[in-house]
Amino acid sequence: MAEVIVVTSGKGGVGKTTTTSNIGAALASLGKKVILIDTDIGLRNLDLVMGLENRVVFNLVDVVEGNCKIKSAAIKDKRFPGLSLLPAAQTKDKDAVNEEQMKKLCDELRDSYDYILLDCPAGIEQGFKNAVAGADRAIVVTTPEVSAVRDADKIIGMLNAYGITDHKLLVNRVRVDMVKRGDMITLEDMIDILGIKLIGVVPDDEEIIISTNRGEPVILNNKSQAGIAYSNIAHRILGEEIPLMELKDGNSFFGKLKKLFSR
Amino acid sequence: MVTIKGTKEGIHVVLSDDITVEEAKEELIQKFEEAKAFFKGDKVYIHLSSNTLSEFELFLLQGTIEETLSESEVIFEAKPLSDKVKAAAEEQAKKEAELYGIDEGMTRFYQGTVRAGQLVDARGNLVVIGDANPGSELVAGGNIIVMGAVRGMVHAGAGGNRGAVVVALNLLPTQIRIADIISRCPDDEVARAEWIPEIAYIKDDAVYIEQYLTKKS
Repeated sequence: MAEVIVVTSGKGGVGKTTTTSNIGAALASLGKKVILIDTDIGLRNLDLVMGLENRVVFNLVDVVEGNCKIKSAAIKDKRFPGLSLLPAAQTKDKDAVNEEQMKKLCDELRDSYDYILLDCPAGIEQGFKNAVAGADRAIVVTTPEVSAVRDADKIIGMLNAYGITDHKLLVNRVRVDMVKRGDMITLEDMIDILGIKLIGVVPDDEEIIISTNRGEPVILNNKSQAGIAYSNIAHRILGEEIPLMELKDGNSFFGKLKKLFSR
Repeated sequence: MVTIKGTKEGIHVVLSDDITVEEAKEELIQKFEEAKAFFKGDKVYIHLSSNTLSEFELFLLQGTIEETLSESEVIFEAKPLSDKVKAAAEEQAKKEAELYGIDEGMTRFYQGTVRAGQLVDARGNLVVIGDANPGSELVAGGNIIVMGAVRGMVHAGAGGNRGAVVVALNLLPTQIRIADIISRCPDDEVARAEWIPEIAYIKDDAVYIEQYLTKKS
């Protein structure tokens, strides 16, 4: 019986899609059966980030409208046995699907997978409502910026209103050097404002940009701090207790120098 | 004006847009009075259609027709076609869809860049004067010609015509479909700097892509 997890944020560009693809890949590499559903109809990205764009034939809207079976629309990722992707439609808009249909779809998929991850679109309109409709729990992604934290707060309120009270916070793009200098909102402040439990902290990492552009999940790269962080989050989703990793200072001059000598 | 047409599915009565209920009533009585003797004792299938009159007004007019043709059995629905006729009609429609716009017929011209998330489709042939970006979709019942680069999805012969082709000045689609055959470029294909006009077609159930212009030796 699968658990349905929605990855949401309110604000755009904080890393929902990257988070979804990496947590999905990490869970699959831990031997779980996982399906990722891109609910961002009209602005589909998840297939692109996963490097599966050219294999898209059918999409979420086709499945919901009954034009094809889920099995033929779900793309199997050959790098991770057990990982599938249901892409969004590119030429439709968010109103092509409604909340009941999403709920029904999630319920139909429950028996065949261990985890269903929903990549939520930015914003709080129909797309958000669709993504949230079928979810059991939520991962709220934010970055250490006032606007992202504000939007995350709003989203947590909306999740509560929708009856999803099991939500965890993922702080993305933390720049260690800036935190050390005191130029960034600290984790403690964010948790204090949002009042929900932390599931993980992902450092800002150039590797993310590189691997995203190549269409490869960053967890395949064991040198990447962000990759390790996402793997740890996957373990935490499975219920394991893993302490937050110590963020290494990778971006400062001394950090780079240290890296250079440690080779 | 009341127009009456006989079809396979029965009698089609079309009311013009400017007609009033009273006028229609009068005209219908007049026309069906003439035909009364012809339909006597038969089953008559009548389909009454109008763009302007309400359901209720049409219902009243149905009553008028029924009264006029009192000696026949009047049914206000399409005559059920025999399976054979239906199959033939479907076959015909399918054939038309397949053949539409491959050699001649309607062609849609689209000028400008087709961007991500845009779908440009045509029942017949499709000519795009511009590029089709990644994430865009071009779908046509016939051939697709792009005077530019194709980087999105293209689907020619969407009605099932395997004779359709895709021609572009730079053919690098994320996915190419012709009729029911789906093909994608190899995962390790590198982007090329030079533009090479290419044509894609089906041979032996597979999509072939070859240079459209062969270099003069």
